[in-house]
Amino acid sequence: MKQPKYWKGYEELQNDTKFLKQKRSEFSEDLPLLTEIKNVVSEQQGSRRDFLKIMGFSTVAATIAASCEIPVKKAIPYLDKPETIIPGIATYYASSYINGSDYCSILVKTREGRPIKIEGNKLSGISQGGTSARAQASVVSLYDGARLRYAKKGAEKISWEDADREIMSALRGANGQVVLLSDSIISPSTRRVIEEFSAAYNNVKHVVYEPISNAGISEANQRTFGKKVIPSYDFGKAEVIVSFGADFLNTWVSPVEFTKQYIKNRKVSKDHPKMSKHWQFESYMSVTGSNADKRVTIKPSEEGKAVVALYKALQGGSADLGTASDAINKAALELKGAQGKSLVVSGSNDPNVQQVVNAINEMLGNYNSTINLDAPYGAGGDDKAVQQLVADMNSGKVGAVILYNVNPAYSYPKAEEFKAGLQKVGLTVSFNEREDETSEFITYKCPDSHYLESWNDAEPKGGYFSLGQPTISPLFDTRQAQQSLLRWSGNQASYYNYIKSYWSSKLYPKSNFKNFQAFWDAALHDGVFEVNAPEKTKGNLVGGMYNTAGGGIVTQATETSEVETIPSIEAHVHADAEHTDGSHEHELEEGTTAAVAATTETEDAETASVGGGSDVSSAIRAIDATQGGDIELVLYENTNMGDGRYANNPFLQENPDNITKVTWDNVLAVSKKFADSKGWIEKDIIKVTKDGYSVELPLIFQPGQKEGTISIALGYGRTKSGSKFGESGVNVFPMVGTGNDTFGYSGLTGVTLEKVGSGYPLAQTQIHHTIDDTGALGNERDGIVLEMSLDEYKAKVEGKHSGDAKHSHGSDDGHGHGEEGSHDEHFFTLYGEDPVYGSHTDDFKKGHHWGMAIDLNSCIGCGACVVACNVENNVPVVGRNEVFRAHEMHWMRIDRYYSGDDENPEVTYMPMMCQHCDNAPCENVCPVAATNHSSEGLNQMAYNRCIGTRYCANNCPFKVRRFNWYDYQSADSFYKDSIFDNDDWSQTDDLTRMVLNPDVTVRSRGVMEKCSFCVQNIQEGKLEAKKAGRKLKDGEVKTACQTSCPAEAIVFGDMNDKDSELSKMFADGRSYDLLHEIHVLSSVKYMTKVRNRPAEVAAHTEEHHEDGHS
Amino acid sequence: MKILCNTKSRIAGLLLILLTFLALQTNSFAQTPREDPVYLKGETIFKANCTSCHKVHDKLVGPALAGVYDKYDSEWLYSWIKNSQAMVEAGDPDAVKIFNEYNGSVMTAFNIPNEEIDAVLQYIKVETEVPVVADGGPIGENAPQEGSQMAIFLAIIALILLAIMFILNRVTGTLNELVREKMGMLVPEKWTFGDLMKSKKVITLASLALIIFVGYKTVDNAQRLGRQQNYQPAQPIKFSHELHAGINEIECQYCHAGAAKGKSAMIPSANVCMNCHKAIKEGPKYGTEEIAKIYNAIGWDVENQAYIEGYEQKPIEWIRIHNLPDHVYFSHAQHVTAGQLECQTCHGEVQEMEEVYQYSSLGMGWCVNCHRNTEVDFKGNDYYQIYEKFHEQMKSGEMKKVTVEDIGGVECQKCHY
Repeated sequence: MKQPKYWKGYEELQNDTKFLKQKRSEFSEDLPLLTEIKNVVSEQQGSRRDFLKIMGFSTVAATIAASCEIPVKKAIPYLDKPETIIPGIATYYASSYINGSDYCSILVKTREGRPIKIEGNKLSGISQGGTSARAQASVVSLYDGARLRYAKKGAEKISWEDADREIMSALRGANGQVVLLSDSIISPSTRRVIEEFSAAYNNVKHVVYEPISNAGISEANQRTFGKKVIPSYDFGKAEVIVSFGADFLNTWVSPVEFTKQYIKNRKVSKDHPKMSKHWQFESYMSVTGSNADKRVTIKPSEEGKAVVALYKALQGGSADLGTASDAINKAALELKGAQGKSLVVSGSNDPNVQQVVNAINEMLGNYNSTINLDAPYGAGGDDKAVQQLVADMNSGKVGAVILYNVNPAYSYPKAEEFKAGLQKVGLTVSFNEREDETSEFITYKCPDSHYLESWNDAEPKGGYFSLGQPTISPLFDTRQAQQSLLRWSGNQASYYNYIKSYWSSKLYPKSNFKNFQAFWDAALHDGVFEVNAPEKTKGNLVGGMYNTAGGGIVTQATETSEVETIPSIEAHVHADAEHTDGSHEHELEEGTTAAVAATTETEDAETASVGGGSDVSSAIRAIDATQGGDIELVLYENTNMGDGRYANNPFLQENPDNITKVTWDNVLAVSKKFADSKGWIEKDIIKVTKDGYSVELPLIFQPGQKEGTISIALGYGRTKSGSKFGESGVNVFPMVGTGNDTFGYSGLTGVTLEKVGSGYPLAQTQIHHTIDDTGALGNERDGIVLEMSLDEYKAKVEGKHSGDAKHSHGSDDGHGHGEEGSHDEHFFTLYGEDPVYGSHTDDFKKGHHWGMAIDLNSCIGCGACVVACNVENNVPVVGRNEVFRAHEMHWMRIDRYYSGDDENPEVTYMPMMCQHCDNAPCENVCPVAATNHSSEGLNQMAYNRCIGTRYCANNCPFKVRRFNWYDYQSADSFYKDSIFDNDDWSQTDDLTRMVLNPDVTVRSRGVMEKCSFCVQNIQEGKLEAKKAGRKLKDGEVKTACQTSCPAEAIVFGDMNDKDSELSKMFADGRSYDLLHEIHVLSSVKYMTKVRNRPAEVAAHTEEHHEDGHS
Repeated sequence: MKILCNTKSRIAGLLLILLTFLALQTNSFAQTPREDPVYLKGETIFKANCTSCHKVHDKLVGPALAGVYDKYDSEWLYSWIKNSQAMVEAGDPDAVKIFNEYNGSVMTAFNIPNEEIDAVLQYIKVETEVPVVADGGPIGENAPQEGSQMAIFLAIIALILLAIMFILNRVTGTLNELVREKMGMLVPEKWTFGDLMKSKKVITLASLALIIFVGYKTVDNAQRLGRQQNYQPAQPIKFSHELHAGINEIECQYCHAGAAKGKSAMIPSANVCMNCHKAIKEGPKYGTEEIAKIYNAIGWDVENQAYIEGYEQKPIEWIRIHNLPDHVYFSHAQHVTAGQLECQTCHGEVQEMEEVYQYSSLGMGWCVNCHRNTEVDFKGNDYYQIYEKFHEQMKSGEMKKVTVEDIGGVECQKCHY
């Protein structure tokens, strides 16, 4: 099969001259020295006089600096050193990253009491050691200077005692409902705190508000099964996955968990040449869609209809949905062949659509196989209740509102109504960590502590419990929200003891520990306790009563039904006493129809009977009634901003969007065809108006966007995020549909577009650092990305070569330098024979020879590695203007390539970092030998030796070297606010600098830097082995990108260790190195992407055209 | 230099040097029981565990241990060392007597096997009975003195000889002139000092010399910028390493416990000081004044022998002596545990320093030199098994030793990252 052309954007596809110029050179601009000097000295152009002035200034400055006395440094030891802390050695604590519905079980790396990095917790059955970009970046938000530093009444500081007294008396005298408006609460202890609070005052109501909601799913399950829950899904058991707009790898429900499951069936090897088949029907290019084997573009208004079409096709009919019918029929066929081993999901928030999805999954027998209603997710909002609350506030029924981790003045679609209502409420209290858009209308601001400063527990999914422990004492005078609620309930207990008592009464009996303290210690050590996964929990925590069949399941139902219903305390006790019999009827009584409440004990029987009789026809009628429009708007959540709560996190702001590669902004994505028809070009500024609300934002062409649809990311355009840098982009929450009981995010009509400007300076990294694959004489080089179909791969591992030389070159002809033999005759380097070490490659056979394998098949492009690398290696944030100038400092980037049909392309993600070439072009050209090669195969960069000529970057074929144009983190002795600072984003204050990794040098202005293979971890691993007097074990040294990856796409190791995981991957037929023909002998190898499509469909372009052109 | 051809003085000089060296060589080394492995084992255990409270000949927190092996039978000693408090409670008369004598301070229980206790006793026995042979100390003290005396002596001789040379030169010069004048030869006009100064050659030479000198000095000073060899600041507490590490022989790592484990050697926290200074309230030199500073920092009530509750502790702000720039990563564990280096190699004879100063330059050249010369303990640590090639070469005799440099110890990213 001929490799298709890969392109990063339309510039590349159309061979734009400006793009080609940029691709050929390392730097996208000329040296800005003269303008810099101009800023410093005078308004004139640089002249000889200016030169002399600057020269004189520098000499004098250097002399003065040099003649200063060396400052006296203090060494202040502990007075009473905690036994567990040894200065210089990191301590890890198991904890839980909880932010609304975001959850990861994590290990927090602390140094001398400061949390500096988040690692995944392998013991967790949910995140399984994976992390998300958000979890990685969360440690930065701990040191956010915009956090509230003390409790406030209005604009004045108030002591906690006074605040407690005033709030309690106001609550007692509240005229109307007392409403706690919170984000999803996945913590069982917090739910209990809220129950206790509800009991302490009259008329308390708890409303869960999720700005980006999945209420449609729980509503549909309410209708179908009588359970208002979001069930758990297992993509790992699914051989065929059909997703209608659900971005389950990125943002939908529990993305890290789903990635872990999904990727199990995506990894191919000689022993396992099998893959799941993933169909995605969607209108905008989502991360999940970009990973699908078959992606079909449909309009959002057709999404529901497509689900219905699939339903009908499965019933034996044939789909009738224009161009997508064929795909739906095929998907139906495949689904039928994988009964009980398939999964159909939809991202729609429309309960009708979800109801049909339920019916489909039931028809396929997926319940209790890939879907489990009995271990539902703890998260989930109630859109209807929120809308009701706003109405109640406006009609004066609400006497007090307590806001907990929500910001409705920004995120509620009808924010003005909310604000107006809030002003009619007598008592307003907020627990929010920062002063935000809503704070303006709040009387008492009682800031919550950061999750790294707090005790907490969580039950993100039924039966999966996890603990969160503080890793630093509160930096400011803040108090945990749970603690505040307890105080106001008149309970003086600490929340810590509260959690402990919950665990002791509820979970300890489920363990087989003999005493509670041992159980608590083990659970705290592991961070997790899983009721139904005994093998994963240390010390065999599980046992006893759950060995009896059925008992476990029923108890889970009991546990989890608390999620939505919040029973009274009596009900709680009751459930405790009888949780092995049918007592869950009692639990489900609230909001449950009578028919469903009479559920039987066996869950199988229940699902079968209820599902069969559920009324899908009315749902189908409702779906059929939906109308499309000329322009349909999709509002989606992206990794970086979520619902806007991460706006003040610079690491996320600067993390390029997975698909668009845009930083610091949200954009209007349209298909090129659509823009062409209007005569618009990229970076035009478009005014989008819907229902009288309009925003202006830059336009980009998005390959894979359905024509006639536009998409915009939510979560941008904060007006009060804490700093002006967090206020990037525009807010499109007011465009969210509120016509129904649930919020609508897609298929929004009534949108008008108007061009109001052009040439928006968009900080898009898409074409920055494009690898130049044009040969020296203009001839095309080997492909950067290689791919093959699953059939070809199968043929290959079975020994039948498909006849394509290209994508097998990495292994078959022995190009890889890690392998012995055949490549020796090509071997030639500038250095020739080394008199000391012998031939150049022999040099690396002495001790370690580090290398990295990256599986293109596993990488889903989530970006967690990029953020993890930034945090681990003190990579600075540079700000929008600098990214615009291609000055971003990221050591690691994910190159996103399109291929095939330009209307609906296939996508390949390629993580790219320093390749640590053993014949490195950068090393030869350094005039001061600041970059050179180590005997362990590392391409070393000595910052203190670098004089900033940038020759190395100029010579790097992979464009992975980064130059410090400014002193981003105040590494120099000239302190902050000097002319050397970057004023786009400042990381120079002491608070922000607390997150810096003390084992990695903070680079100063004017030096080059790049990926070091996390050499600090290599050195640490080696030292640990030496201290213990043993060999270094494979897998002991890991890089930051590797540990953060939820898809296990990156493997680091020693090439000289023939039994290492890395060597096995290198020996695999799929591995190849980049730009092989220029003979740089890189230490990073990529594994060819395998797509699950039959070989005959390989001529995919025609088919895609069929789908794409409607 | 022709004056040095003067045979008499040359011989005299040589003789002098020879004699001095002979004088230095007179010490011979005696075989001692101190080379016995049991003794050595005992010494290690003693220094690691006991020195914070005991000395062989003097009283410290606990009694002097000289002769302890005769005073009590070994069974008694075993149980005392393993759990003295149990014996006191059981009412053993000897135990109770000691307990009371030392104001009820409890000896830490050491759960170590009897052989190790025997080794410690053997060590104490040897220390008690076998006098210390002056096998290194005297040289260390006298050698520099003798050397400097000799240098002065030689310098005086050289000065005298130079003076003689100058006088003789003048005499011969004058005589030569006289002879030439007498013979009617032309006497060349004498160069005055002024002429000499105006000569182009001299000016060129002088300016060249000046440039070289200034250049050298600039580079030399620039390199030393930020380096602090011999830096000896006054510390907030007049802590004497000589007293603690030298006279009392407390192991370095008793206090600097991080050196074996991690990057930082650690300045001991005040609670480590209190391990001994709960009992020792007075020092030999400054009395109670300096020790009181610890009590003041941590909040110890001397009279009631208890920590003061709710005391606002005041950290002790030591002045940091050994400073490395931020771009250098240095790990003590690498050198102490993996490299098995003595602390003194880099820090000098700290046990003789009343006030600690920076002994080494801590410059990169100093580091690299050591890495070039130091041999790696290749056989003693299994980690190094991965260097199969070196092991082969060592076996075949191709390589005599593997230095730190050979395994990449002078590469940039071993210390700079």
